[in-house]
Amino acid sequence: MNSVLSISNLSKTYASGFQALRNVDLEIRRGEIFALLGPNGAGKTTLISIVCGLVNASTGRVLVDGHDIVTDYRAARSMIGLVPQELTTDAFETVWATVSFTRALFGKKPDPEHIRNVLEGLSLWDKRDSRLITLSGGMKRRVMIAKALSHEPQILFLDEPTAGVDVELRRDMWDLVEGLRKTGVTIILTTHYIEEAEQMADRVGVIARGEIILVEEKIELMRKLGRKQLSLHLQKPLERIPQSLEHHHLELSADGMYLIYTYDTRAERTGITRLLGDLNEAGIRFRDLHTSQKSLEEIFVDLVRDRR
Amino acid sequence: MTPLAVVAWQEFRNDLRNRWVLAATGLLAIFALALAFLGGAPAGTTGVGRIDLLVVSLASLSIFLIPLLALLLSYDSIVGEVERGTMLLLLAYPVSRAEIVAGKFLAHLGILLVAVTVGFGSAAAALAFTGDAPGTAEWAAFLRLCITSVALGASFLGLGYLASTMVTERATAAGLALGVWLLLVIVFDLVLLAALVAFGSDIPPAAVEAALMLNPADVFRLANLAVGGNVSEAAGMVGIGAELRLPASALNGVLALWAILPLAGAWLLFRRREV
Repeated sequence: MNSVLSISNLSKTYASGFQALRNVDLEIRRGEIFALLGPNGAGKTTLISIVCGLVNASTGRVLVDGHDIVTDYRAARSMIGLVPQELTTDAFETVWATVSFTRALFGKKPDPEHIRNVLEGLSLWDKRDSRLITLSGGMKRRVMIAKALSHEPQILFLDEPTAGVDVELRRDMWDLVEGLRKTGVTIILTTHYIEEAEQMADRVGVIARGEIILVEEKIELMRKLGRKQLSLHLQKPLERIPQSLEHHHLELSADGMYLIYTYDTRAERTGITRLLGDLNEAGIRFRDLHTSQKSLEEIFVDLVRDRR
Repeated sequence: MTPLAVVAWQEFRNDLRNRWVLAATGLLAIFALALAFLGGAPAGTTGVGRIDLLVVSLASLSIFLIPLLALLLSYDSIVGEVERGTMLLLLAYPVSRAEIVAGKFLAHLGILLVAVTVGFGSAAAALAFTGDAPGTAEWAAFLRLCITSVALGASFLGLGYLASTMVTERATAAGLALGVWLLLVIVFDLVLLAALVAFGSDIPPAAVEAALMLNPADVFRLANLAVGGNVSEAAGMVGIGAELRLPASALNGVLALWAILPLAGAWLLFRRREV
């Protein structure tokens, strides 16, 4: 595997005693889009903060394209662009000045052509002489991305890039990330939104309580997350599931009043129509039905529980 | 440009937009001009030059205004950026924390240099062009005042950064900076004076001298007004100057230490701080 980012045995315990990360091992492939999913407080931002040099790790090692983030921090950070969750800009600077300033901080020579390309790619060119204080939230977020791209990074961290943005901007952001992938930039994004990972990522990592509990190809994870349950409230209780229905892998509640059918929404066929037909043939009547899907957080909790 | 120079230049540009800094610089210039013309009146009767008198007046002005200006520049330079979130991004760049502190220090030093040059320079120029040309010794005293004023500012910049790295809120840093100003510029001398009045000759001169070294404002005062010449005479500090055992170079060294030590302390605290 051609890793551009290698994280090994990384742990972080804050002065308060809170352990934010526990022995995290993670390899990010060059050129991929990796989505790091996790509930609030899972350790996503701490992990990014350590890689970007904002927080010191308690133990472990991080290599960015072979450069240690502690002993060779200049080379390591030069390869990284960070778009933080918060919009942190100097209100009185112009778009052009703040993006150019960021490039200079990376020790890069001025390259107006590159800055122009970045601003044009983010639809910011017309706003280049505008002060940041006059821009909308969406535009400011684009400026943050422009700053992160000003020095031509190989890895781009997007920390909750669409948190609190409207649907239109979210779509724009997804298109933008897709465009960046085509230029060969490795993108690591953190998000709460499963549809965001679904839309953009090649691989997905799930972090909970400071532990990476799984790293999988997106397609496989989507299959797991796509499961729903159909619950049938029966008119009369059943003692056991009839043999004619066994192939549906149903579950019967303890009181015999509910039949539960688990199905995959992404499968070609869910099997619901056939199940209902078989129930009818078996003479089983139901008075009500409802479907449910686990929330992402519930799935995280289940995943953590499964691993213990 | 190196990252250090980029940080310094950016900070310098930001500070030029700071209205408090502009107001303090303007105030410095107005007071300096007023002192140049009004404070020069006794020159004819005392026999000392007008620039010498200007140095005495400006030294007293500097002790109040330069620390205030330095603390205004520095108190929120770390905690303010942390609070606004801009520090988070800055630390993600290939810039060391030492470069961030040093860059800010250089920028603020530059602002102080501009303020002193504009403020004191305009007063000196006004005097130079409206009367007899001042002598070399007068200009030397004036130059020493300018340099030590910037050094005084540098020591309070360091104290401001220390306040800025010790706390987690801008308001607390502002309170701390104000406390430092009050303590070192006003309270310290009053306490020392009270001790001298109360205990008089029981306090050995060496102890008084050592106590004065604990306050950069007093070191600045001694370095300008008690090192002999017409300025000491005009300031009425010839006697103190004669008793002073430390040479001028040592006073400059102590002032330099006052600039370096708080700055180093701020850097050490900032190095450990997690944003």
